Amino acid sequence: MARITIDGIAVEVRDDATILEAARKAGIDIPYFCYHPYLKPAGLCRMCLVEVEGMPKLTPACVTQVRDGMVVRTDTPRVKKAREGIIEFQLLHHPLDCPYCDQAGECMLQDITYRYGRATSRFVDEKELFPTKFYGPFIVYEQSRCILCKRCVRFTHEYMAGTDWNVYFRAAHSLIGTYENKEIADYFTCNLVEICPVGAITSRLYRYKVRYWTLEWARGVCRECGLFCSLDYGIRENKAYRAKHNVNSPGPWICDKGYFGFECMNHPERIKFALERRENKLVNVGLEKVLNGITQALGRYKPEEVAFILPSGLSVEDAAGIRNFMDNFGIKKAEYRVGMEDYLPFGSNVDSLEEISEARNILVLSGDISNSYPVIALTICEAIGKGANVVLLTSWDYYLMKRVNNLFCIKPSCEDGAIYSLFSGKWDEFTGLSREEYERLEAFLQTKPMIVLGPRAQEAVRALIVDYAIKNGLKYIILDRSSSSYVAYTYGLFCKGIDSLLEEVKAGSVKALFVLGVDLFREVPNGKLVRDALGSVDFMVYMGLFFNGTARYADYFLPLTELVEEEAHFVNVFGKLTKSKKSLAREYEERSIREWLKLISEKMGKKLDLEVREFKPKFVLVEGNKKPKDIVLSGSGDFEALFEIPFYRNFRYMEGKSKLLEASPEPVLNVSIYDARSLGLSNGDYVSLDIGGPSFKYKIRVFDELVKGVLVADTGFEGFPVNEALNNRIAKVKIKK
Amino acid sequence: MGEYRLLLANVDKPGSHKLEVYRKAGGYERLRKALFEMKPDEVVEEVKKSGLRGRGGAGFPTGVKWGFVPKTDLPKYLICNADEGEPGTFKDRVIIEKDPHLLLEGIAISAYAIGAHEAFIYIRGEYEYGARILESAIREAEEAGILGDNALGSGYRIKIVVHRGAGAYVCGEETALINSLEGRRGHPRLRPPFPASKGVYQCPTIVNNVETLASVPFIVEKGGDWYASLGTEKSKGTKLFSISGHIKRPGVYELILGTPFDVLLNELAGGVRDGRKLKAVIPGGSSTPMLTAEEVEGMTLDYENIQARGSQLGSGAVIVMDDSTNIVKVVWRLAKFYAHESCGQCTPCREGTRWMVQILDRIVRGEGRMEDLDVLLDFESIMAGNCLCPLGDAALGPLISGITKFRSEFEAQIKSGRCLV
Amino acid sequence: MVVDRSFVSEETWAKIEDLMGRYPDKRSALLQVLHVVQDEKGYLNYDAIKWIATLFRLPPAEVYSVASFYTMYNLKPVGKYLIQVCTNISCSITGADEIVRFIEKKLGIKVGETTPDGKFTLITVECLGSCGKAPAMMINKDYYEELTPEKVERILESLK
Repeated sequence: MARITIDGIAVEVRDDATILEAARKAGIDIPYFCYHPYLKPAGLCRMCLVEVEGMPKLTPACVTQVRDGMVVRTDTPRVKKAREGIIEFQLLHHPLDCPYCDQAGECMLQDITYRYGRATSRFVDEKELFPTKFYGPFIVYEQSRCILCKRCVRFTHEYMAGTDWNVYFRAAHSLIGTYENKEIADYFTCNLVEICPVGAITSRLYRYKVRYWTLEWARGVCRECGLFCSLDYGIRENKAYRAKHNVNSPGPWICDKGYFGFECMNHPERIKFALERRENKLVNVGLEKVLNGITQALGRYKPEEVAFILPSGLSVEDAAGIRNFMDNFGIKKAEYRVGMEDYLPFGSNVDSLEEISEARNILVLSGDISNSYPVIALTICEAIGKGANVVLLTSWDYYLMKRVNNLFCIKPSCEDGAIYSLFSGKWDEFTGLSREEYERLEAFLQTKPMIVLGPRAQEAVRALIVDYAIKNGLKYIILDRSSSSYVAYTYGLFCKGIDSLLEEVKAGSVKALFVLGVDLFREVPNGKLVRDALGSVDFMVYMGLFFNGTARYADYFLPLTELVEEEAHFVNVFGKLTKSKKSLAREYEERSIREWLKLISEKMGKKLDLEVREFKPKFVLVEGNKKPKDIVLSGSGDFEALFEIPFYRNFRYMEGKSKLLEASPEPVLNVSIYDARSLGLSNGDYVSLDIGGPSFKYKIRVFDELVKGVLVADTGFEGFPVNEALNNRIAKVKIKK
Repeated sequence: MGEYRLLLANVDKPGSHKLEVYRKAGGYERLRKALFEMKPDEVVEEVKKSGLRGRGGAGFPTGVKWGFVPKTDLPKYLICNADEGEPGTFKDRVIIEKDPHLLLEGIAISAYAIGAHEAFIYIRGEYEYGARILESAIREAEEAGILGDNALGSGYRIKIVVHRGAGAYVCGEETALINSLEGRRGHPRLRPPFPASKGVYQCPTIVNNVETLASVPFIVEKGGDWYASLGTEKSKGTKLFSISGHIKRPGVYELILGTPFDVLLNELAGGVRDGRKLKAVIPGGSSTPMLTAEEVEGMTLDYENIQARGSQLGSGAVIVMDDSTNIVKVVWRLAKFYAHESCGQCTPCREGTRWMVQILDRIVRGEGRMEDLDVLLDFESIMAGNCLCPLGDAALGPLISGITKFRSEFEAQIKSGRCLV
Repeated sequence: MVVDRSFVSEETWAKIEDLMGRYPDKRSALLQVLHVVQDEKGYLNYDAIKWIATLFRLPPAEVYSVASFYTMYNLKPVGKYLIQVCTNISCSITGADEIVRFIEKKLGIKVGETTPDGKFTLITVECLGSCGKAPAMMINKDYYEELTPEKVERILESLK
């Protein structure tokens, strides 16, 4: 510990603390712009200069470490003069447009000028002003307001392992922005908004909506993936206008899905009344009638004829409520694995994101981690920035493929085989890895890397890796496709898989379905089966926020609450609980899943206990050694295509998130550079994709890292039923120009 | 007292850049001596004793700098700073083009002294010819077994790589140079950590100027004491002076430190040209404050004497201005240079140099106001010592000295409202 | 990662391989590779930046960020002869402005412009380290020193 004095106040701090940290502890304000607790110290803005006894020059408090006995002054004429000078310099070319700047109220330049600036400026020359730039759907850049603190650029370097956002040229001509594209939507774009201390980068979703100081902040939880990041929502008059990450829960940064996703709460097309089917329409007949209708209908079915299909992002309370409801009526069937996963949760022995960021060697397998667990991908990139060696073996991971140190890209159908062969120690030429590549991977495995396994890998592969990791003392994180897996497995809300459940519906042995918030047409890769099953379902209750392809088959529609409209707990991939508070009042009939089930249960004469006393997640135990199932590809053609929902469509309640959808306006087909060349295709061309029957129009994106003969095709678009022509995620296809 | 040619001893010989010519004059014997007869620490000790100070401009004692290299297992690197960009300076170019082997020998000895096996010569991009000369000299020396895995058969490995810059004055600052060498933007880094502990690739690194390194062989050959016997109390040895401007015989002259300025100006460079009168002198490269004709009277060319007159010896680049010179234009031109070369990282330098130019632009156009001069002078309190690297201070050198010493000329320009461009 | 070697000549590719092998960290070769690609292509357009980015496994924005920091990389097309007149202190007090005006008049272009035939581009640059032989200029990679309008005229004639 070091004892130092700041403006006469003695304070004791860690030896490696900076003067700025010490000043905070002493309760002394030192102004700064470029400093950020989660970025490396840069010392660029020179706003935090202080005087230290014995040092001839003023020194930046943000980067200067304390020394025992150090005497610091922040209140001398020299410091005052320097502060006034720096602020005057920062404002020379600033448009002073606070009255309509969205940052006003939370602008560090505004606050610091008010506290430490001169009353007038001596600047009489012409201001150099720049036009507003809209970089795609999410961010607006006002160069004139930019103070070049480079927080945004430093974030992209230190955490994102680089992106199409940087600083160009130099001196006063330094310019920040994109280079390759006119737009930037690179999974973590929102952090650029959040990290900007001034009004240079602001959110388009928030543009000109409300003033910052009129917002009240409500703590909630993002439900888009198994990290369940804690967010704060800016509320005014019972409406959410903003999201903000709050520090370190689980990490300091979030992804665009969380930041822009709250939009669904306010969406004009959101349904807030319980509806009943009358002919071809769902209509509002009053809550009482709806409840009567549902209970009467349920009375017609035997318990084994009823099943639940569960969404991702399920809360502990909802899962418990569903369990109790099922037990009340002897219902046995429920399934959360709508992505056709054949596995249950194996969990992880990693406790935090920090552990990932500190890892020296990381082996990332399968995919698409950056799409399904964005912040884990970001943390892996952070580790790359800190010098970790990250090896990726996958067929597709849009974000990580461009950024890892070593990439082994293979065909989608080879993924499981290749991973299996690596961990069972036997090279196999059919895995798509050359002997030499296999040996390099094997050598890397000897460094005992942390293993991160993505959601595409099947059960046999998971079991083998966990077994290997435990025996060899490796850290592992086994990621599931559904973020509900921990709670659903713990409460036994699974049966034999979504395909077998849908087969039962199709065959008529399951007659009544509760579909909770899932659009099956979008999420189940076997779209043919969904169509057949829903076509023959006898009775269906759909709960959700929006009308969609699946809701079209519903007899009843029950409106749900979302985010801060209900209090709930979530369990993240590290097994930790996060809590979302209820901060918005409900407007009409929207309720949580468990509240609806309680109403129904009580209507049917059985009490439903909603209190959760304790929650401890359970995991699958590894037993035996199964071989991975062979993947049989349907269709015919020269190309092997992987169908995945793209990042900017892969979330709950897609219908209500127009801002996010703007970043994925049309279906894209990723083509390797080899195939693009031999077919004469370039970025932006359109092709038609033939899956043996119907064909679909796709826009080409040439992706340098892809393997020859592999295509990666977007799904999940309204009016683009590519799923319905498929029975799995991977298929043989043809393309035509 | 006239020229004393130590570093420039070979430059006029025909084929002076060739190994054969260099060896005939005893070349690489000093390297042999260091490798076979001296321990690395002994070389450092001699250099400390010699009193040699960095010739790039800052004048930091070279031996002391070397002494900062920690004893670690990390690889150590030596970088020769050949990014000669300080306006008025053209001395290193002479060594590079005319006596490259002297530089290589100096680098090899110095690398050995600090325990480096790899050295880089960071040469400014414009000196493409110089880079080619160095490349072929390295090839010659490697082929002759002087450099390479087994330097002169000593078992010591010395590899020298030429790295071309690409047009950025700020890369002459050693941490910016290191970033540039790593393939990044030439942004100066925060110090601490200093390069001697964490430099290129986060390893201990010593950055020395061409002239500094080229002086080392003589120290090894004749001893630190001998070198220290040349010069004054605090300024030891010889120094190259590049003299330019309104002068009859501009060029590079080597003098023992402490030589009267008059010798350089009048005896060697032939005095002010066209029979005009001396008006001002920038004594050590454009960043050093300018001195008036009166102020340089009786000046001697050494660190302490020039400092006592309120300027610096700097890189030894003397720019001579006669009485036809418009100081307003000189200050304006130099301000534009610094505004162009600021890396743009830190606020005071980026915004200060830009505003400086905006105000001076106006004055030069004849639209200046008297208050402008006080605003400009006030830049000192905002910028001096407050920037991330020395470039901001450098920009103040000509500005503050120009306005203070030639204020009447600025006032006359403002009053006249004349457009000078 | 796929690097299309045919983007550059075999000679340039050989230089690049040599340069990338010289440093403990290959990224160090970035400035050198930008130089040699520019030597072949004349300037660095998007395709060149993107190609170099692939070579170094960096985002193109990062490569452009580096390239645009340095003044010697041409990010836009330049004439066959790039005339770079030093106008820094020693040159400007010994007549550089006159040289610039002379060239402007002679070629009929302003500083920063290229002649319509694409032959000459005129720019002014900072100190070239030729102060002892001021005023000075560079045309492409060659220095021309102790300039006078007559001398410049002869030089330009010889380039036609």
